Amino acid sequence: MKTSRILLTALAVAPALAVATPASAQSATGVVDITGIVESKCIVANPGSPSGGASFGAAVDLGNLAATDGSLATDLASRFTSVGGANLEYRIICTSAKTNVSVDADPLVAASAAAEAGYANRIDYKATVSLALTGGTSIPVASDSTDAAATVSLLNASLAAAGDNVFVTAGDFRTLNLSDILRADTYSGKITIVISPAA
Amino acid sequence: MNKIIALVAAAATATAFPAFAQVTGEVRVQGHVDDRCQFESIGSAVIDLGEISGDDGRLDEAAVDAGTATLQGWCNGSAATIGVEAFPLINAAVSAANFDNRVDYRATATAGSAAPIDDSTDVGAGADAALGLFNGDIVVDISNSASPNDGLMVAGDYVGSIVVTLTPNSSFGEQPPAP
Repeated sequence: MKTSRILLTALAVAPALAVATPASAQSATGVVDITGIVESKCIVANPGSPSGGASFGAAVDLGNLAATDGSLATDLASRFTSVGGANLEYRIICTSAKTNVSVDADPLVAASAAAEAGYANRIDYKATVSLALTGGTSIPVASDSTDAAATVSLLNASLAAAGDNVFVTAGDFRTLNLSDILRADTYSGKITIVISPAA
Repeated sequence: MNKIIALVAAAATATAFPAFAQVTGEVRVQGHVDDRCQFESIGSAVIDLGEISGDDGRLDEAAVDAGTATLQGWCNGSAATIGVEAFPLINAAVSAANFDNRVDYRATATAGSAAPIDDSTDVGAGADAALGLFNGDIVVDISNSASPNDGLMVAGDYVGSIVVTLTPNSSFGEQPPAP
């Protein structure tokens, strides 16, 4: 009977011992795929001081536009830059390899005053938007307020990644005739800049 | 698990600046021109009447009434006005009975369709006339000259003046700068 007990004990243990070792030597591999996308887009990182619905920009008040003799003042270009200051410098981040830029300058026009012979109620000028690109180059895109349409340019490079990369200046302020006397009134115009990613 | 966590963190950072397919910037430019008037190269003149007494020693009205001068000026606002003030011709020498040392007259300043007047016998300037936009000649004329007593004119120099004033006023809601 002693012999019978020993056998039973061995059977009870055997199944546990069988699970402790791997049934096969082959490994299993799992893969988790990761995908993502960066959309072509432009982001305004330094907007200046925009107003209305613009995402970047500024308001530049040139003050009295007339010289002491009633004709157009001759220092408006430097006055535009000094009054606008840092609000004429922006940082735009675009993720595309190329960039579309559109610049459209609208003349300064009197609110209501009409202009007779010898007088002016409109001031034209040239707006220039300089864009700093990767590689250290800078490309100007200009628009004159007498142009019928905006100036559109495709830049075959990305905007510079660091620091402000869009700079606005205005110059060549002029009336139709050099001697025209400016009509008394308030004058307003604007420079519209559109920057979009390009393939 | 590490890779999935990194994706979520990256997505959160990407929304820190608003992103658009295109961004539009607008630089608004404005200014103003004050209402102003100004005399140009000819802002003053001298009317030298010469001898103003006639052969009878009394005032030669025709000689005085021939006096005229031209100024040049402009105004850039539609509300500008023009006025004139006439000061009598006065001889500082003392007068006497039946003598005169003063000549009165009417001054007229013609600028376009505006022609304000003033008599030197009046105190102060005459009424302003509407001028509006103007750039050109302002013609000053003398007329209706007379001596108070129709007496003999005292010998000596006679000096008077006519003051023409261009006033810009306010044509678009702002006051012009103080002179």
